[in-house]
Amino acid sequence: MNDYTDLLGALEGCNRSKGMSRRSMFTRLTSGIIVSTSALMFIAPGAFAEQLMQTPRLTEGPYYPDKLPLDMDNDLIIIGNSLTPAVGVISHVHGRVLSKSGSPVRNVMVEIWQCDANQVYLNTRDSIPKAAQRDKNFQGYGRFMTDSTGAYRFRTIRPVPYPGRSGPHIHMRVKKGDVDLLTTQLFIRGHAGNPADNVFNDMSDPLDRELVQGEFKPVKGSKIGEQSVQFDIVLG
Amino acid sequence: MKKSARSRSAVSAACLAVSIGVGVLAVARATPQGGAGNGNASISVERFMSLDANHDGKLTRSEVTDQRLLATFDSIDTGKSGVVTRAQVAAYFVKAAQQAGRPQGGPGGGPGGPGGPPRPGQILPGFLADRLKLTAKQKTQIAALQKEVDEKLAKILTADQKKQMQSMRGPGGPGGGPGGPGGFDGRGGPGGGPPPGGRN
Repeated sequence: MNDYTDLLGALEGCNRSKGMSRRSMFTRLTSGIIVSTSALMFIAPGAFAEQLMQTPRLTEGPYYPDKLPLDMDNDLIIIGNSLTPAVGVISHVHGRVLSKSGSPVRNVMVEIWQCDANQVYLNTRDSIPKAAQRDKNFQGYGRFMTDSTGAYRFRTIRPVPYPGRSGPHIHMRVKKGDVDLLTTQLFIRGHAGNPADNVFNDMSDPLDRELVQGEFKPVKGSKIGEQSVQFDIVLG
Repeated sequence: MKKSARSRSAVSAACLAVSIGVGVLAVARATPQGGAGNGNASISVERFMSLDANHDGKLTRSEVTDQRLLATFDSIDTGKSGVVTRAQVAAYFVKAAQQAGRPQGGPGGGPGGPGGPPRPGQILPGFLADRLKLTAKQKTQIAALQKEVDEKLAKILTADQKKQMQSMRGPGGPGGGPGGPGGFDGRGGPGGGPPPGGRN
């Protein structure tokens, strides 16, 4: 309080010569302090800081694997020591898991699962009735633990449409232990099948649809037409 | 005098913050399940324009610090000028909302009232599914289950039995459900028609 009135006095002396009344000076100074204090109060818990938009949560769907494969690494193109790669356009899916304030989330598990190039999921409810058309070289599911920068990466196939789902997609989940932090789906940016897709449409806010689309770009110099997509995931 | 001035400023700052928060929440919750009318596009516009750090009403590419949204910016900035206006952003999201294959203002309230017996083998009649407010996950699970049931039932019944079932569906109950909740701008969708099978 003493410092405050001293400050006020000093300013008053300075400003009185400029014709400002003491009362208006006080109001301006007080308002300035109150506003900046209030601003700090609200920014600290993050309510009004510039926060990243959360990645939309989308349905898990019916085909999360019922039996996890033996090989659960982040390379879905090759199973174990097999020499035969999966059918499909090889795509590198990578990104970072971030908190809303933009800090990396390390040591969380990112899982992906998707149907193979012949539209068959690993889950036995799909793979048993469609055993004849299944690509047995596609791993179907993979997981990767984020590093200290929150980064994850997978090598998989470019997703294809599935009966009833015109928008090709890769299911993704972020888990810490057994806790599901976020489940979503990654769509191909600009794919013609997206507008008619029911999960895509279920996001009533068009901006949410932007946040689950990734740009599949050709990998420069790849002789086999590989693609790459960066997909950062922001947890709520 | 000093104390009340101070507390008034603090209270009004707090009130402003709370009302913004409540406003955002209200807007977020008001989005109806139905469809992507113009109203939902306005939410997108607000969210996207919140990146306008210097509040000059325009968005520059450098203001888009969230790199996930750069592709969106580039789609809006057709002239590649590096700046987009609120009007351009609005036009983009309105178009996106319309392309989602749903009419503005949300769809009507479904194909009329309960009307008549549900389709044999139908797990959850439409009106009940709506009333229960199933989650997207539940809807997907029920759809998968429905597909299974339909396939299995088709295998159990003979062709003749299936034909009889079709002809017995007969008259429906009172038709014409109420119009849907509509888009955020308040316009409701059209009312639903009578259920298939005609009126009693």
